[in-house]
Amino acid sequence: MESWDVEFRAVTKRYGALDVLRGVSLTIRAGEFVSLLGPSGCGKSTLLRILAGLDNCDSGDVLVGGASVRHQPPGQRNIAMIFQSFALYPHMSVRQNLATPLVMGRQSFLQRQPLVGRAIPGGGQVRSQIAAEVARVAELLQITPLLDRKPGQLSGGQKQRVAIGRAIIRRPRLFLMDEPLSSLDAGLRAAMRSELVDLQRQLGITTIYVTHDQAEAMTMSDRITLMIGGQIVQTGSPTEIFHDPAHVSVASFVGTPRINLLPATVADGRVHCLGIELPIAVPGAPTGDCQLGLRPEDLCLSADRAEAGDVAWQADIVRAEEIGHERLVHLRMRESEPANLIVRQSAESRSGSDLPSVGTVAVIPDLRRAKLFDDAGNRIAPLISTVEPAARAASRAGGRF
Amino acid sequence: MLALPAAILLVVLVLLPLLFVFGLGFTDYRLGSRAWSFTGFANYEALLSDARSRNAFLHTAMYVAIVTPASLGFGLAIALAIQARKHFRRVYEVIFFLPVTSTFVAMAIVWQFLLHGRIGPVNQWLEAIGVGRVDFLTDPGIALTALAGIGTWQLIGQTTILFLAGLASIPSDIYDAAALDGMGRGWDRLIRITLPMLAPTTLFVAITTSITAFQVFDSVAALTRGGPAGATDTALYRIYQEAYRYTEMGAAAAISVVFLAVIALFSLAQLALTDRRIHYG
Repeated sequence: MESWDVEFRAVTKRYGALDVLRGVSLTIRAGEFVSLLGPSGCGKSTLLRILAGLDNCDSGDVLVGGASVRHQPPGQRNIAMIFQSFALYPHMSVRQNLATPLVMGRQSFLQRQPLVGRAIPGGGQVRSQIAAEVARVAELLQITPLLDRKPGQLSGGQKQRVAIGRAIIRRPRLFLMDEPLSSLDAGLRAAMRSELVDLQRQLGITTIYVTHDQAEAMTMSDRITLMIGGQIVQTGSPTEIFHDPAHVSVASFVGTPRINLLPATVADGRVHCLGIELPIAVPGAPTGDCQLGLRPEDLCLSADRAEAGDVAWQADIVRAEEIGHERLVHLRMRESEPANLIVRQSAESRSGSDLPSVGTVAVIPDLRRAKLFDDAGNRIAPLISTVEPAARAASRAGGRF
Repeated sequence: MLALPAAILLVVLVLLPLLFVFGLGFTDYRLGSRAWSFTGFANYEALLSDARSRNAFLHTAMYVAIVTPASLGFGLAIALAIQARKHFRRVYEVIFFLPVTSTFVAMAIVWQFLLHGRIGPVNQWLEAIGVGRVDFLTDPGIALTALAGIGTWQLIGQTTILFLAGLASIPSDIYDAAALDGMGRGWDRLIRITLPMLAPTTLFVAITTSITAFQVFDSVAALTRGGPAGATDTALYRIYQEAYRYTEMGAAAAISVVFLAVIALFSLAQLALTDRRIHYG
């Protein structure tokens, strides 16, 4: 199936006094699976609707396959969309639902009319073509036994397959999905996730997927575009987004539980955080306040202060959540600023060490994975860990990391 | 148990009077008389042989046949037009609903003036465009149609509001999906999406509008009094005449029973014919 690339050029959109999209520019390559990820109200659904033609942008342009579609009606853009509620036509059978895009696309106006349409000569061939296509798609999605049912008689997963069928039946050049899995239950969601990815790989259609669920975005996409407040904050592969965030908002949004952000200061390329000078160098960083980001899995706990070493903070355990394969420990920092920490302990790292569930412990950061963000939230890089090689080897042997 | 008060009210206010009227139809009771007797089906036989009564039912049927489709059709068209607007919807809704709220007897004076054969503005306008005068309320051939027009005017507001409510219940992402499938705001969307999804509302509006139309009385009593020459006699007006003009309560009761049966059968027929083909929910 032929597929196309998409380009947004400085798209803006305003509803009344609210700027929903502020100059969004994005390029999506043919055949890619791109997720638009972001919190509610960030403009991702609006961007999708503008691409589909259901809304107009105030300024900027939208190009598909190099040609502007900004003034084309949605039916002519050859774009298919799956909605959160599936939007199946409730009064039509599954068969008729699947056939509708082809009926509108291939039959003439007169041929489409309910009673007189059959009398128009030459319609028979088109009708049998359409019937064959419906059967083919139903077979592909395994919904053939459901063809004569109405949407009200289908389960959530079946409805979604019908929605997918209706979308792919006319071989669109773009596939848009607006949180299609959020109305399914958790178990079904995971199964449908992999089905959607398989289908997209099989058909090779450029797909844009809107979601607020980062797990979905991370597992399904070739690239993730993170949007906050009407602007694109970062675009990159899931790995880049997770391990190399460009902004503190990216680091905060992606990753459950949230990244721990500790207040710190930079002076002369050295970093001080909560009373400790950290053995990291940030050459060229401006002097001033900053934030040190450490994910829960980048921290480690030790009950023994002496063993923990110099680069450790004292914290009181507030609560420990046992999840089976791991434990999330909530801590409160001792230092002046009230800073709450969450530390993730996987099962292996805990074995052999018996940490109490209450009391004071030392929190040891893995500074190789630390992320430093300046006052405005932008990432400060490079960040060079200057821990002595010997000390590093010793701590590795200690089995804490 | 909780339904008992409502059930009592229903029995006392609806069912008992109904049975009373039903029984009255078999008597020759005259309003105020002390002596009366059972006459069996005499009233019904008189009804069948009386030309005036038969005509009354015929006229009522013609009236319903004009008013119901007209007020449904115009109501739907206006509702679709209002719904397509982005601004000033409320203004139009109020404007179209005003006739429903008006006191008809007061409006009757206005209509009598408007449709007057000689001095009425409508006729003056018709003369100005060259069509010539039409005796709307005094020409036996036209009077019923004129009343039907007035009746449509009165009911359009109601049907419009009901259709607007029905249109609002269609989810907007169905329209989005339709747009992506190639259905813009045109004929295709109307007959494939809007009308089928509106079907429960349409059935409801059709039944209530036809029942209201069957019960036409205000315009007949205020404008033509059954004339000219019985051309606008309608069922309810005949009942009124028999009961209060001629004080023949028995005869009036018989006509009432037949009237009720006709309306009930018509409504049930509408339900039965369309129920299976309508998609609910």
